[in-house]
Amino acid sequence: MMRVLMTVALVLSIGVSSAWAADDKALANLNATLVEHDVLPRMDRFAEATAVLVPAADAYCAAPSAAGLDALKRAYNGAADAWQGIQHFRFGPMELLLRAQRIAFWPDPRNTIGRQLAEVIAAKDPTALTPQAFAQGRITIQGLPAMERLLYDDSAKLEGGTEVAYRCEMLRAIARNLASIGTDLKREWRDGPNTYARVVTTYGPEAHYRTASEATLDLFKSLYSSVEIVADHKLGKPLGSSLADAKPGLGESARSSRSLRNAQLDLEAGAALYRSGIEAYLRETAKNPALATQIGQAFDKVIADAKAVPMSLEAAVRDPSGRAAVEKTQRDVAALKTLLAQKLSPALGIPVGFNALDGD
Amino acid sequence: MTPLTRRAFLAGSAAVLACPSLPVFAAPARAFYGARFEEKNNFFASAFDDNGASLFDLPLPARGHGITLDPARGRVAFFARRPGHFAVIVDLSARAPIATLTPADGNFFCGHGVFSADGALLFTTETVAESGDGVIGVYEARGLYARLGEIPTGGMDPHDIRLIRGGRFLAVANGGLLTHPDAPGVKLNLDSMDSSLVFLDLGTREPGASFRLTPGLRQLSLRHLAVSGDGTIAVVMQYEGPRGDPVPLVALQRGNSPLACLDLADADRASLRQYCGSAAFDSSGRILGFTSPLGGTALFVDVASHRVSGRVNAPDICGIAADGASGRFVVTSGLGGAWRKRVDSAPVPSAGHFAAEAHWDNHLTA
Repeated sequence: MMRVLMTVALVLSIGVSSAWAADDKALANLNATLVEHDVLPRMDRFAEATAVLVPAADAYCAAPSAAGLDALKRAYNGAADAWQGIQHFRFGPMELLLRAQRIAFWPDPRNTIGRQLAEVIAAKDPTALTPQAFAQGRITIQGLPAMERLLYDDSAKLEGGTEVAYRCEMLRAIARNLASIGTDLKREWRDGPNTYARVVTTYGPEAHYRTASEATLDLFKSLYSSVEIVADHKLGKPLGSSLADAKPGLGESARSSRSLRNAQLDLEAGAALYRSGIEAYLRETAKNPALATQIGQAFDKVIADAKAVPMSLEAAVRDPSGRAAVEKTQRDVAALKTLLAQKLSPALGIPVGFNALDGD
Repeated sequence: MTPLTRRAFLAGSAAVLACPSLPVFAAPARAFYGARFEEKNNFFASAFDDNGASLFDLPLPARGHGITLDPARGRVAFFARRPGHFAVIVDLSARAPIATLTPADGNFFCGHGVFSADGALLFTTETVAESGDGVIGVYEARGLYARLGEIPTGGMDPHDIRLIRGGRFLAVANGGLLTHPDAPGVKLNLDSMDSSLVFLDLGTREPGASFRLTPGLRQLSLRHLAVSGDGTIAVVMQYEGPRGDPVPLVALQRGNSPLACLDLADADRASLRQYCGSAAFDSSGRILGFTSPLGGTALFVDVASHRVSGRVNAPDICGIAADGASGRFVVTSGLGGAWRKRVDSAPVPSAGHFAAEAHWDNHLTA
């Protein structure tokens, strides 16, 4: 009883102030390492992958051909891969101007993308596609899911009919818009005196982050969300509660058959963030090699699980054996999520509660 | 179903009290009600007394959220977290659940509710899943808690709800966030949010006054409410925009006046991390307490001067309720713990194991 009271009192009086401050230098080093070795290269990759979309869309629209369409689809998949590599970094430049939602409006349980895409195509208003108007217009049709629909769902309408020209101009508008967001994210993270890379590694009473642990918390939440989004949304939603309740339509990228790949890439991005500095911190600074190994093994396990799913996610959730593989993946990812929340965050000295993680 | 008359209800409850097989507990001097959670996804509707000892701890089917008390009739309702599909009514003398409500097909509960002043009705905030429209579900609350109908809230995402003006009006915070049960926790309309505080006239069942912030503050979601004895309404908010934006997070509303945002010093405002989770007035109505689990901060503000007169720092602090005498509160944390706080002195951890060790969900009600 007395021990319990003491613990609570410690968290309150010492835990919050001096004990955290003592770790701040180590956490500052951790933050700098994670930003330099993981966040920045991934922002670069997204900028490169989205820049490639522009010439691919321009070339296809100038002279439509099957080869050109394939090239554009390859560029789309490259950009989608790069997006899965950064979709968990929702703080800093990503919070500005609704960028995450504009790059990939998802989930879309009401089919808002389909509805708004149809409205805009029906209206055929050329002024809606100028870069500024497009970027400030409907967020649902500015990014990868809208491009996916144009390329895969209705690709016949890119070959003939009255909408060809406008659909192609939309593809070009989306490509330019994604490239421009990619450039802006990279620039704001990297270039100039007030880069976000500097913001995340500068602490003080007047700074954006008062302490290093506050920035570590944002990076931890990125790691956590790379796992949570797979467990709860990317696998959990298409699975439904049973075989009969499966909802393949809720997969993230069913049209381009990459819903499972997205989940794999998210887990790999989480593992890479973990291995770019958090693992070493646990092992050497927090002196907790057992936990460091446990989390590393848990990441290996979920990535192997996802790779073992023998068919597309949409097919697997409706197939008894495929479904078992998806369910195993989801169980292991959910266990990893719990491990991160309950063991990793206290080991980093940033206890994260459920009230803070999922607000309401 | 014929609604039970008041006389029938009273006769019924007298019969329950007289029934020897049901335990009957004396009411404690003061009780605090909250939902709590354990590892491995176990959830409870719980209460503790002045000393932090458990009064009841009843399993819930999923995570709970808001709580509303009907002291005159010895009942308390626990609402599921949104998107929610149950509300459990607990009888305080039996310390046992007496009814479970479910929303209408196609609706989900948004996490809060309130009894009418006479206890005849229970109002719940709900969302119509397909349209996203907010409604107040109206339930008969003397018998079987049958659903009687609904009242539109004139907005999306109605969240907290209180009785005001002697029970003649409801005050409802339309959070303005479009969500869907297929994507829980995901906000689908950050570009077109429209959050408001609305009054609903229970006599006419029509919308009365509504209050909004200026258009530049569109991405602030008005979510939780506290009402003082003199009828002042405090609205605490969460901001869906960038962290660096210097937006207000607390507003006060009196009479028919517009929302007046609370001026906080930059450091105090920043300590809330753009997110307030819960709020309560003290018993005098002069001090407003509000919490930020993201910032690990509770601030206590003198309502007249806007001066911060006290604070608590504890990770994941969120639940807050008045604790009897003026200037006193109880706060709880999702990482475990409950503290008594006198505004002008340091917080004191709860003496009872139960309150001190439990992981408390967002809200606490006294």
